[in-house]
Amino acid sequence: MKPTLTLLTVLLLEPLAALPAADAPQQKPNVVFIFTDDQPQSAMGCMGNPHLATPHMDRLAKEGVLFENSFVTTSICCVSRASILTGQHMARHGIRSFDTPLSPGQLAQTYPVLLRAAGYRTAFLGKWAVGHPRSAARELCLPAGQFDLWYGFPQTFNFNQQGRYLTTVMEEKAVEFIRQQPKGQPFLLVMALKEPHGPRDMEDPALPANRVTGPIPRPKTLTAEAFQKLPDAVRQSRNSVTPGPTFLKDDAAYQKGMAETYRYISRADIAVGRVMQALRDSGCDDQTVVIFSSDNGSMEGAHRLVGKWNMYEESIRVPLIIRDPRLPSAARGHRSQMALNIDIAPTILALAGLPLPPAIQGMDLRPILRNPEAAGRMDWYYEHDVESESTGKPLPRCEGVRTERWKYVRYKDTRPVQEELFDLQADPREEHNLTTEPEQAATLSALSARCDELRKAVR
Amino acid sequence: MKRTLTLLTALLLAPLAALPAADAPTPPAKPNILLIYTDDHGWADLGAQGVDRDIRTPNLDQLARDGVRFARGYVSAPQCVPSRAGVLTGRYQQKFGVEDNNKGPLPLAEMTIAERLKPAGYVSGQVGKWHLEIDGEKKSGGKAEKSSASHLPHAQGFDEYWCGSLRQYHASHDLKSQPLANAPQLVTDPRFRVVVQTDAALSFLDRRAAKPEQPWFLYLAWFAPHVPLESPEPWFSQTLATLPKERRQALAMIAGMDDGLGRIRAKLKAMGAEQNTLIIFIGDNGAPVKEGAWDGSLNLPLIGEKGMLTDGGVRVPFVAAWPGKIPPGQVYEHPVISLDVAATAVALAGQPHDAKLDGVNLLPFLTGENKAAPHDALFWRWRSQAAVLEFPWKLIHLGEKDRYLFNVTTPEGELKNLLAQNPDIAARLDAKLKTWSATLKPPGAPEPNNDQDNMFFAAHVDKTIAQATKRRPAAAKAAGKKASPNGSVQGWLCRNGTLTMKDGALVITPEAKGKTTPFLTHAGLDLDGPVTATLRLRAKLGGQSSVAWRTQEQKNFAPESTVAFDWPASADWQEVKVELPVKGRLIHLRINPPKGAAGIEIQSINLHSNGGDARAFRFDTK
Repeated sequence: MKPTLTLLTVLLLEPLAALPAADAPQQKPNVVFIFTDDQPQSAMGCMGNPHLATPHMDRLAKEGVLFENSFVTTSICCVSRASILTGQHMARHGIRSFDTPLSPGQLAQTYPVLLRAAGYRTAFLGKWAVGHPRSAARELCLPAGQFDLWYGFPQTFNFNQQGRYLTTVMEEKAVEFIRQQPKGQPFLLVMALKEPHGPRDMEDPALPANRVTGPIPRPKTLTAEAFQKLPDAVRQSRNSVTPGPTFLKDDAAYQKGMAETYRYISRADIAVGRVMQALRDSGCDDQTVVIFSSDNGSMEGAHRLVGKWNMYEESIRVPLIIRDPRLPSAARGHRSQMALNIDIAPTILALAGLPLPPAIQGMDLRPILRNPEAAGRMDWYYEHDVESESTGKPLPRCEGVRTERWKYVRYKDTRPVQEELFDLQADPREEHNLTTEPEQAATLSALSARCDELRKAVR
Repeated sequence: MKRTLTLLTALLLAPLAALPAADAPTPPAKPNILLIYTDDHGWADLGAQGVDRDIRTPNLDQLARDGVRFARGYVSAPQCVPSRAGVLTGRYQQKFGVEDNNKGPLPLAEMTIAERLKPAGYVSGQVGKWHLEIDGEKKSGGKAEKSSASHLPHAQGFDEYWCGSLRQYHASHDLKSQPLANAPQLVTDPRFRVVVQTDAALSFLDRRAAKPEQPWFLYLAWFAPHVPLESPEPWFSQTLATLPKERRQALAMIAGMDDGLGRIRAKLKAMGAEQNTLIIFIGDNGAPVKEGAWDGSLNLPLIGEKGMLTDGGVRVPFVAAWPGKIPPGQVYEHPVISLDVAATAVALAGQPHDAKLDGVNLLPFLTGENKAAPHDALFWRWRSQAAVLEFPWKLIHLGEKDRYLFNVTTPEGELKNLLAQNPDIAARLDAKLKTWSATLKPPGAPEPNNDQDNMFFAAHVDKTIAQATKRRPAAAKAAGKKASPNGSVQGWLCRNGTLTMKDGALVITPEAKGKTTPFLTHAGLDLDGPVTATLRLRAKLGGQSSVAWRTQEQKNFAPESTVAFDWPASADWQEVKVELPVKGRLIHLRINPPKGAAGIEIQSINLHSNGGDARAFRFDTK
C-alpha cells in the first residue's frame, strides 16, 4: 500500500516536487561564506596566535574542520576572487588585471549564480572586485542583478559609509537577510569583508578594547640578511620597499602597524559572531554550512617584504574553516590535506547537490570533511601573472609548484632564470634556497618539469 | 662591496628596473615585428571596444592598454584574399590585380614584408591561413595537398612556415622545432586549429630565442572565427548557454585566440624580447552575418558585413603595442589602414622607403611626433563597389546603380545618404576616387552591378529588403527568447503581466482577466540621485503613468518617491524624459504604465545619474 500511496502522492503533488519527501534526502543546506581581505592564515587564535582575539573564528574551527594547509592559487585579490567564484586557475578564467570582469558566460557558471538558478535565495555583501566599472560593463563588474540581495563594491572603497562603519552596515543586512528567509527555501549568503585591507579610513568606534595583545613577535626572517638572500627579482620588486612598509622601520612602528591590522581582523571576527548568532536565532544553524577564508595572505614583514603576489608561505596561506553541522562530531578537527581557493566553488556546488560545470578545476572537499584520512592532492600549481602598471616597481611574474614537502618557484621573466627551491619540512620559513645544492638537483629538475606540466594542464 | 653597490643601484634606479639587466642578451638594434591577422573577426569582438558584453578578450584588451587601439582601423578589402595580399605587400592589391578572392594568387613579383625585411637581416615566419596560393583553396577542393607549392610562403620570402588553416599544414619545422626534410612537408595535427597555430608561433619564437641578436618578422594568421565553426574547450562551455550556437562558438574561438595572444606575450617577456617587439593585431575583414553564412562574430554598431565597403565590411579590430616606444593607453582616432604595416616595418628595419608602398610609417603618429592625420584619403575597390574615405566623408559607388555619400562620424552615418545635400563634397571625393582608380589593374570604375552586392546594400543600407541577417544575436535572442526563468528581460520584471520581445521592443501584456495593472520593476540598480529616466515608448491607448523608486536606505517604496508622467498614445515611438529627484542611491525602480492601457511597448530605458553613472537598456538592438 505504501508504495502506491507514495506514487500517487508524487503524481498529485508534482508541482511541489521540489519539497523534500519524508524519505527523500535532507533538504539542501544553507551556505554562508565569509571571507576577509588580506588576512594571513596565522592571524587567528585557532592557528595558535595569542595576540589577537578571534573567538568566533575559533569557535567555528572547534565546531567544524580547520584546514591547516589552505592556499590560494594566485595571491592577489582580483585573481583569487575570480578563482573562488569560478573554481578555476587564473590561466583558465583569464582575470589578470583589476579591470577585467568575468564574461556573462563565466558569470553564469559561478557558484552563486548556479545556486540561485537552482532555487537558492542569494545575497552578496562586500567587496566584489572582479572587473572595474571604470573600464567594463557595470552589470559584469558589479553584478547586482544576479543576487536577491546585493550590497557590493568594486576594488577600492571606504570603511566609512556615510558616517557608519561598513561592516556594521553589512552585518545588519546579513542578519535581516537570514531573518527574512522564507521557509522551505535554502539560502546562500556571501560576505566579502574588507578587513584588514586599506584604505583604513575608519575603525569601528564600537570595537571593544583589548582585542590585541602585544608585543607581537616580529617574523624571524624580518632581517637584512634574509632580504639579501632573496632572488634579485624579489629584492627589486614592489614587495620590498616604500611606500607600504613604513611599519618595518623599527619595532615601535611594527607594533603599531600590526596592532592595527590585528584590530581590523578582530573586528571581522565579530562579524562572524553576529552572523552565527543570527543563524542560531532563526533556528537554521543546524542546516547551514559556514565557510570562512580570506582572498590571500600578506607578507607582514617576513623576509623584509610586504604585500602579497609572490609565492612565499605568508602570501599564499589563507584561513579555511568549514563548519557543516550535519557531520558527526568525530569528523570535526584539523586537516592537513592541501586545500585551495579553487576548491570553494566545487564544494559549495556539491553541498547544494548541483553538478559541477566542466570548466571547474578545483576539488570537492566534502570527502575530506567527512573523513580526516581521505586523500588530498599531491601538488598544485601557483601562478602570479598580473601586469604591473607602468609606474612603480615591478611585480615579477612567477609560477611554481607546491607539494606537501617542497616548493619550487620560478621568476618567469628573469634571464638567466631565477628559481627557488625550499624543503618546507626542514625549512618552514623558507630561508635556504636549495637550487644550487648538488644533492637536490634531481628534485629541482623534477619539480621544474612538473611545473611545466601543470602549466599546460591548468589551461 | 659589489653587493652593496648593486643594492644601492637597485634602490636608486628602481624606476629603471624594467630595463634589461647587464647579463640579459643584447637585443638586436632592429625591432621584431609580430603581425597577427584574424579571420572574419568583426569590429564588436574586441572587448576594449565596449560594444558587446558577451565578448571577452582580456589579453587583447591588455595589448590595447599597453599600446594603442585604433578607433578607425581599416583593411584594404572586405574579403580574405585581397585583404591578405594588401597587408603583406603594403600596396593596394588592385594595383596588381588581386581584387577579390577569385583573383589570386599573389604574384611572385610583388614584394612581401618578409622580402622587404630580408636585406635588413630579418628572419621571417608564417603561421596559419595563407590563401594566396594558386587557385586559392576553393578550386583545389579544400585539400591543401592539391594546391601548387609554387606560391606558398617559402616562395614569398618566408624562411619558416606552418602554413594551413584546419588540420593540414605545409611546414618547414615540426612543433618541436625540428626542421623537416623536403620542406614544405605536409603534416597534420588534429587538435583545435587555433591552439595548433599558437603552438607553431611559439615554436617559431623558440627558434628565435636561440639567436636573440637576429631580428624577426612573424605573420600569424589564426584561422578563426571563420567557418567552419568549432566548439573548443575549455572556452565553449563558459559561454552563455542562452546565446545562439554560432555566437557561442565564435566567442569560444576568439577566446582561444586571446588565450594564445597571452601565451605569446608571456613567451616574448620570458625571451626578454617584449621591449623590442612591435605587435600589430588586425582582423582581415568584417564578419559575415547573412543568413546561413554567419560566423557568430559581430560588426555592431557598424553598418554592413564582409563583402561590403561600408564600415561593417572593412573597419576591424586593430591594435598595436610596443612597450617603451609607443606610449600606452592610447585610442587613436585618425583613420589608418592595414597597408600601413608594411611601410612601418620597412622604416623600423631601417630600409629605404619605397614609393610603391601605399601605407605610411605609423610610428611618428603614435609617439605624438606627428600630430597630423596619416592619410589624406583611403580607397577601396572590390567587385561592383568602390569607395573613398576622406574623413569624415565616405563616398561609395555601387556599380552604375547607386552612389552614397556618408558622414561616418557616427556608426549610423552609413544609413543616411547625404549625396543630394552635398554635391560639392561628392564631386571632390569622386575626383579623388577616379584619380586613384586610374592607377589600378584594370583601371577605372568597379565591375557592373551584381545581385549579391545589390542585396547587401538593400538589406543593410537602404533597408528596402527584409533583414538579410536573421541570425544576428539580438534578433535570434528576441525570436527564440527564453527569457530567464522568472521571465525577466535585462533585469526588468513584469508584475501582474508578462514581458515579450517583439520587433525590437519590450511588450507588456496584462494577465488574462487581470484586474491589477501590470508594471515593470528592476531591483538591480545602483545610481546616485537625482536621476533622469529617458524612455522610448508607445501605446495604442496611453494615459497617466508614473515612475517610482526606492533608495538603498528605504525598505519599501515610499509614496513621495514617485513622479507622474503622461504615456502618450501614439503609433510612433515617443521619447519621454522623467526627472527623478532621488536623494541617495537609487537601487530599485518601477515603471507604472497607465491603467487599462493597451499595446504598451518600450524600446529603451536610459537612466542617467547626476553623478555620471548610467544604465542603458535597449530592447531594439540590431
